[in-house]
Amino acid sequence: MNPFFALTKTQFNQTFGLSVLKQKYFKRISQVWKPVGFLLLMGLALMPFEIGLIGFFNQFYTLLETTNQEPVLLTMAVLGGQLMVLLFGLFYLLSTFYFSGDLKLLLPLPLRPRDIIGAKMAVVLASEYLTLLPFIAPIFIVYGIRCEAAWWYWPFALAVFLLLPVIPLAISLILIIPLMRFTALVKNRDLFRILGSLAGVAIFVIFQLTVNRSGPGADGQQLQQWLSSEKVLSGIGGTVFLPVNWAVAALSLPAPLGAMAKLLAFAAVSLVPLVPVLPMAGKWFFRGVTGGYEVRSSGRRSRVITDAAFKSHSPVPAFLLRELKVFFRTPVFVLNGLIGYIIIPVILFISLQSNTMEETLPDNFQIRLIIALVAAGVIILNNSLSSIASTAISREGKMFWISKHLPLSAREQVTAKLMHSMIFPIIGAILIALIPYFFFKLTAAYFFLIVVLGVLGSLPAAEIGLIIDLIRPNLDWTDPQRAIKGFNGLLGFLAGVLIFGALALAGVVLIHYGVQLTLVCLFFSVAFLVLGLFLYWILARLAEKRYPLL
Amino acid sequence: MIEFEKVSKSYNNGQVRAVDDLTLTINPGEIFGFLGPNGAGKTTAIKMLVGLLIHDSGSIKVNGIDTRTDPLAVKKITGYVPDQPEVYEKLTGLEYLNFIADVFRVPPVVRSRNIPRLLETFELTGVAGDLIQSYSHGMRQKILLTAALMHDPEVLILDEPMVGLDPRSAHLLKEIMREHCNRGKTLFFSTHVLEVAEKLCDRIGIINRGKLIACGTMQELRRMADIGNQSLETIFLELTEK
Repeated sequence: MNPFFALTKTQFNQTFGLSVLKQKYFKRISQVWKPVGFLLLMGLALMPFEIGLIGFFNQFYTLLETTNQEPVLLTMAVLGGQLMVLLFGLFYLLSTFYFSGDLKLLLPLPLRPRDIIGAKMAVVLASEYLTLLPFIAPIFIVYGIRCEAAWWYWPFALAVFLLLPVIPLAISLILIIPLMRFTALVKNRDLFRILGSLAGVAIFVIFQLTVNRSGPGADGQQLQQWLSSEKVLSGIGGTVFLPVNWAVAALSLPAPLGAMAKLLAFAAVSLVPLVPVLPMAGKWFFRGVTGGYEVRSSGRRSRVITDAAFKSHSPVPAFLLRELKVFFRTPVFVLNGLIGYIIIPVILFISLQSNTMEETLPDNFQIRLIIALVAAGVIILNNSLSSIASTAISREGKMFWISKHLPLSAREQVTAKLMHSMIFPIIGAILIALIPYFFFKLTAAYFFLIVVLGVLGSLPAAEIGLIIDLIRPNLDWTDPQRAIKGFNGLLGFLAGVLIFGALALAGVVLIHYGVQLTLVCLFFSVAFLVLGLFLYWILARLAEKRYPLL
Repeated sequence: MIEFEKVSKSYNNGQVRAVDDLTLTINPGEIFGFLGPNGAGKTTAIKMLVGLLIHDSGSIKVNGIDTRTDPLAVKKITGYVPDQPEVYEKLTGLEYLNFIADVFRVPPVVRSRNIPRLLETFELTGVAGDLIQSYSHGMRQKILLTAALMHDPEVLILDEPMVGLDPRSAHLLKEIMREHCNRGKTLFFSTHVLEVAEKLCDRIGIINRGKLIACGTMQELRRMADIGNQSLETIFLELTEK
């Protein structure tokens, strides 16, 4: 087999655990139900989310129909999808090229740099398809059905979907490879890598600002006017990213030949840049990778250790301290764990900045309470998305033997892990609460209400994540990004959506029946607290049971 | 003292018996060497002893404490070094040792006496403040040995402790092992280096395909193999080929 294909096959096998699946489940027919059941469960769990999305896009299509701007829906899909890939792909590529444990195994093999980069890109591409599918497919399906598209729309939509992540990944690669090369030259590489990634977030923010400025405000009439303007398509997509228009035209033009021409243009602009980018990246690759593996020691050999170095802590705080040190010193954990706590407040800030709602906000405490509830909901949702708790066990990997051998009960260990998982939600809650506090000129009491509700709700969210990771940890990784990129985060999020969705529904019902909003806030506080205590009880018991078996 | 009583462990729903009906007693003050071919069940037995794996049947006791009923009490009196020196790369050597000392509740006075002494012994003093990711394989092995010895455990369990050590460190370790047992403490270790086992151990156990096929002093093993005054290597080959 061609070395590139052999490597790509192995990379897919390693990343998606194909051999493990085969060994674990498909060699014994009695075990097949497990992966099948898991997939069915995932499908069922995703269904409400997908139905909600389809409903939303369907209504949006109806709104667009009134102004004959239906293709805006496609622009949203293509532009949104590409931005998503640019942002997450940047982090993913960064992790793949900087922190892949297997690069040490690949470097001595007679492989060309472009083979390694190509194979790793293929895996990242496949992962991006899986990430994009739940968001993009509903849009293409709604558009195709509502506009009664011709038969060729469907293969074209598939082609656009497959090409969609290529440009943003190529852009990410151009940013990543030089960064990797220069990383080898700096002293504190981990810090440099994190800062490099934050530069990626800055790009995202600039993009977001550009798009936001060309868009409408939150006012309904403004939205209508904006949608009926001639430049709406180029406004949100074209001026920022020309190929977006070609992709949209490929799916919205009535004549198949014209659409085909646009599709070919989109394909060319997506694939052609790879021709120079891959060899160029290859040139920088080896020096960047080998430079990254050089680990510097202090070089001081006659150091005397003073008594101050032996500061003692109680076991649980010592365990928490270890968790924090390992977390903060592993860039891939920091990047993946904290990204939501940076991006969500920034997005909220940008979204509110372009609106002038505070001027029209009536001086009504009911509305302010609703704002507080919504803000608390955003905090909880953000924490449900965080992978800190849902990878708390997995992150230990092969070092888990140390935790198992410690004379510290499993309950104490998961308590320390829970404390670690709650530090960032508390900081995140304060950051997010500050945004409505300033934009809607809320009083300090509302600010504290948002923080308290957000933190109380985040506790069960973190506990759900930990419980899931205890049930299905991934301890066999050689590459730290495999620890943090699994299904556990998604499962935690889905479980959170179900539980918090049910609570939110209960809140809506209470409001509907005229229960005072202060009482609704009290209801949420008590519900979160009871849920938090109950889940902690489950977590502690489960930990004692599961630890010896892991 | 370590007691294995009819201990068994199998994998793949009983298809692979990694340890089969193991009964073995290691007395205080004794250095016990555990030998066997690759995949014989040595590491599985050790992992069960330190609580990393749960045995299917039988009982394991350390100083009379059952590892299943009171695992934390067993962990408090044992020191363990695994066959692979997997350790937190993002901590410095000193941070790791302090962490282990905190969790084992080693008083500050004891740690400020033991840690510098052990670091000096293993020639790690100069690099103790560096991240472990900059350590070589042997240095990682030595930091784990330091961590295992720091709280002066009653029972020391070492899985292939000589792998990766330079000759000087290996020599030092053998001295530490002997000194540990001279104070009435127990030492259980696995090795493939038969010369080390022959010279250092009070008793030797040989495990093959999960079963303990021989156990005793060198003299007793020679009698069992019925091959006269031969080396441990010859005895090992004779017994494991049967």
